[in-house]
Amino acid sequence: MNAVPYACVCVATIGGWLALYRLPFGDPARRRRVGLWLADRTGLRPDAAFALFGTVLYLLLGVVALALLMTFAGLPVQRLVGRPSADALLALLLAVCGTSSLNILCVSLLYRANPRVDVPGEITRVQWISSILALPRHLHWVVPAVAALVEELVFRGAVLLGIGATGGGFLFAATFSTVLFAVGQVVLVSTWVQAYVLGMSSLVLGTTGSLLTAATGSVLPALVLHMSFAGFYTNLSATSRARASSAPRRLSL
Amino acid sequence: MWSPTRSLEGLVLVATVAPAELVRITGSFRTGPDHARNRERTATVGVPLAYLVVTGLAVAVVASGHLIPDRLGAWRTGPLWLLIALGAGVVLVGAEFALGAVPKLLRGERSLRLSVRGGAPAGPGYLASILLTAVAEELLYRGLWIGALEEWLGLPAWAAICCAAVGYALGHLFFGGLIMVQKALSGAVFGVLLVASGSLLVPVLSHLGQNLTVHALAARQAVDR
Repeated sequence: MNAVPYACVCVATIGGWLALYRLPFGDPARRRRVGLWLADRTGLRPDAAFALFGTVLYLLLGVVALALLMTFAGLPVQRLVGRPSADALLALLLAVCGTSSLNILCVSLLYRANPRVDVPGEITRVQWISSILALPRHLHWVVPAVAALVEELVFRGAVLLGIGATGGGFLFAATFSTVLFAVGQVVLVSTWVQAYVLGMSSLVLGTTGSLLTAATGSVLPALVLHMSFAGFYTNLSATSRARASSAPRRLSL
Repeated sequence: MWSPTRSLEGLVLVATVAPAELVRITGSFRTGPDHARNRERTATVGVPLAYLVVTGLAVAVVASGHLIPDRLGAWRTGPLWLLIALGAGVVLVGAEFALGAVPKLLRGERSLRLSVRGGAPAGPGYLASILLTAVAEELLYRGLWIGALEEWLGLPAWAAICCAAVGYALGHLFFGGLIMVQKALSGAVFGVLLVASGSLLVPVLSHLGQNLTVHALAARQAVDR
């Protein structure tokens, strides 16, 4: 299989993953019923029980998508998690700083356009983030990190490296995997502010993650980048009440 | 499969577009009455720290990949260029004021008063902060960016100067659109100084001269008030 048909397989597989996760539980009444049913059997609060169920479902479907794509691309597991060199740590630290600063730059642009927009509030209202915040506090870091792990293995592993393994160029592979990742995030939100913030952060994360993966020859640094990014910003959105419009005074002249 | 070197070069350029935005993370943790007081400290310490950390990491990454551009290591120059550098720094302050006046003139305002934006603090901590930031910005946007765009991507000098000036302007986004235009102009002049003199010391001195001039104006403005 060459790169373009494999890219089509990626779209179909990831589309199936997100559809199976999202569509059956799009109806709030059904979500409530499932939550009550799960709460009866687990002793958890209905919202926490449903959040846990949704997370497990998302991860399981992601693992199935990953296995399918790796089979199609003929990618061995070692190719995904090859050990990077010690220099990769410097590149990872730079990527962490760069991803954060670019992400904040995108949010700053939004505040410039509309200073009254409530970004932390909007982000905590994203369905999957509010689900995570319904879980016990110690899981607020764990769940985004585990979700990031699966997403990174799929998008930077199976999709990016898979396109490379099927003969695709880096520019095509990086652009395709990044856009697919961003679209996958945007379809899970419900307002334009959420779509802008999550879409832009996905584009930034996808770009730096792709470059980091190609530079180090392993998905592991990009995986650490994504896990820390997702955990940090999920929690920051929840705890932050300060507005990003609190710009420091001019320093650099 | 793909060139790790090209990817590393791309990563360095992408990750160093707007280091100053990192200071907003620390601001996000602060709430309550201390917020305004802490903001000045964040700006004084946070902005140069963000630039120094990101520039240091970027230089370490390119050094580990044996990719250091020649521009970053070229510091020798003659006394004439040092004079030109300092003069250009002072002239650029006037040029930025002139650019800042354009929108007001277009709106028909006749009496213009020049002032340094936001009543910048004039203490020694602030002075050290703007000087450190200037050096870090020159290392990053002129030494690394122009060198990298020329050597890694094969861009002609004028295109590398323009790209680095746009990157430098983007780094000032949170100060507003007008300041971005002013900084694009300064960035382009610093880039021309680098390419014309062949020494990174020239734009560094010019930038230091510009910041010192603005600091002196801010101190005088504070006394007048």
